[in-house]
Amino acid sequence: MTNINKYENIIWNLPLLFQADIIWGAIYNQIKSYGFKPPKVNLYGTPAQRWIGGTIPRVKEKLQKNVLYEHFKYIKELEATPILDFTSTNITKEELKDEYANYLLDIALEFNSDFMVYSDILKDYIKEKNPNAKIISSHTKPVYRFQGPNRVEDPTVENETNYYNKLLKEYDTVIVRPEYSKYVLCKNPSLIDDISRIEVLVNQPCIINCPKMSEHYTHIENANIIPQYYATFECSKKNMPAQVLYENNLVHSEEKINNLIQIGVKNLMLILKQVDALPLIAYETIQNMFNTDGNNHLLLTETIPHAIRDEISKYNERINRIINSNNQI
Amino acid sequence: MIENIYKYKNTEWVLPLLFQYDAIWATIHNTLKDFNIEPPKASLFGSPSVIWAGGRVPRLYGKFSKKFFTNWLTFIKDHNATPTFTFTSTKITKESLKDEYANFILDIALEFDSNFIVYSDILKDYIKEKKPTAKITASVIKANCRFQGPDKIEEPTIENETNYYNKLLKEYDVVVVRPEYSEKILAENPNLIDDLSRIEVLINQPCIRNCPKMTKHYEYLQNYNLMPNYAETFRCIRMDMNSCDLFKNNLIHEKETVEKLVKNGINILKLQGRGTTISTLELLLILIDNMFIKDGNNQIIINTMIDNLQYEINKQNEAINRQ
Repeated sequence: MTNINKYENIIWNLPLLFQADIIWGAIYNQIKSYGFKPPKVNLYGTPAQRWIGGTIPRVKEKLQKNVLYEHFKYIKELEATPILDFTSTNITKEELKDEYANYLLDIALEFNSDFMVYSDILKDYIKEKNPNAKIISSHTKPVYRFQGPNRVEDPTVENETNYYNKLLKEYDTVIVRPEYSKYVLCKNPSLIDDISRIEVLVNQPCIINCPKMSEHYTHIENANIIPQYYATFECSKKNMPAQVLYENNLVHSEEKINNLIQIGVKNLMLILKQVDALPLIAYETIQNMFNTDGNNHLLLTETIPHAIRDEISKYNERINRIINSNNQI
Repeated sequence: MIENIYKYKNTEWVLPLLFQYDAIWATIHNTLKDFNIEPPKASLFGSPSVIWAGGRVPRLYGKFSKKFFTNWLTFIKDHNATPTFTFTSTKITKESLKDEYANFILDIALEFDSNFIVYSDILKDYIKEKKPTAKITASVIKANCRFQGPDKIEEPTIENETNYYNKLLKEYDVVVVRPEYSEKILAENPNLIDDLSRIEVLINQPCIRNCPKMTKHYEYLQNYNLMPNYAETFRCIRMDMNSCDLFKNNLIHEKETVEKLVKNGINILKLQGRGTTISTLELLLILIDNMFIKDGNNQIIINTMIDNLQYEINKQNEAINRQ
């Protein structure tokens, strides 16, 4: 029987918080019901709020306290740590005062959440509130630094390594660019001061050194926070020949990931490509984390659609109960 | 250069898509072509609702015109797949051979060089009389009815089962063996079978081993399809099993087992998935999981397939509804 986990002793950061948490709920419960031990995971994401970065949030409305509490409790029951995605590139002292963002922050801190952050001043702000809060340097920080016409410096091995080592002094975990993990880190593991605090994004489908990536994140961030934002954006991959995309993408192979783990990488991250389609989110998550051959196919592929539907019903019932009990008061 | 994307090389796939999820094949076929990869040989099996159809709930109820079927089968052929009609009813009689609509469908199917999966020997003979070159597969239900359940005809010993398949190979063009047989016996003893190249193996059957209720389940589904107001109920054994027991006792083949079978000379692999309540996308994901290596750069190809699915569904609808 094939081992269910593709990689052992790894912490997975999954893009599911406030997006598709029930996917992890379905997988977690499915794995437990078949007698296996689920891997350690964190779920990252955010509802719409001022400190959001270049991710399209699924939850657009402001959430009541009791609903948030129940949601965080649900995450904890799945033995996952919530990571709030506060990756806005536009934080000033003024934005730090945002009421709803602070309200989310306070509740998140109550539940010992972690935070993924772009802005150094936001990082300092959170650490002031709770020095023990774990803060991850966003995957977008090196993108803005090293990619595109507005980059701060060229992505040479030296520049990029120095940058990550500097970030490691200021952040608890640092996400490196996939270009770096795929082509530099395995050959030169000793360059990085503390590999155990490096996080690798393994399923980025973008093209290598895409010159438009930072613009893409900015576009989405603006659409999230600017009312009536009407600019358009065209991804570099549109109309790109299939073969070119095949040879120039940033997806890490199993062999590459195993090499990274061998040199000490402990944190792997997934990114979402499609927000709406739950079966796709489940598929992407499962394919990257688990072996799905043989009997594992039964629990992870054939029966997962039904497990997801069950989990959605149970979760909705739970939240509706909270909402209804609040209304009765 | 594109790395190998196929889990198993030189394999013909028999896929549960005809008249249900045909756009899935179009998606796979066209995406592979976009990446200059030769698509595998494929047959798509299924059936509209008709008296000769067997125990799977069809999606296509009602009676349809020749134009409709012609458009549909042209769509399949345009994507280099062979339509395979599952006429697997266990209740065929000389009377039911005369059914007008069934014969109407059969004639169109033969025009398009379709294959057939059949339970009934008399139906097999009837089709062969109409067209001796028609390729006919002995349905796995034949072996299920022979070797499983309280009404089984004989015990599924290695000798009995091997003899049975070798006998069927003399009468049918292809024979689907029980997964219990392929998993435990065929993988280790390929020489028992007279012609492995005409054996078809079902690799993702989620049922439990030697299920005593399988034939009853099939009969229930057949009756449900054919009899108006059929009020019986049926409860699958798996619904009352705990997950751990189900995990240990199902018939999904391990990758190593399939690799061994292919190495030994099996080159026709079948996937089940008809009559299911899951969505087209979910079934595509199941097929992808069984057919392709998804590692590394191949994920780009898989992602493209997924992205293309809705477009192919729309194209199929256009093609089918062309006047």
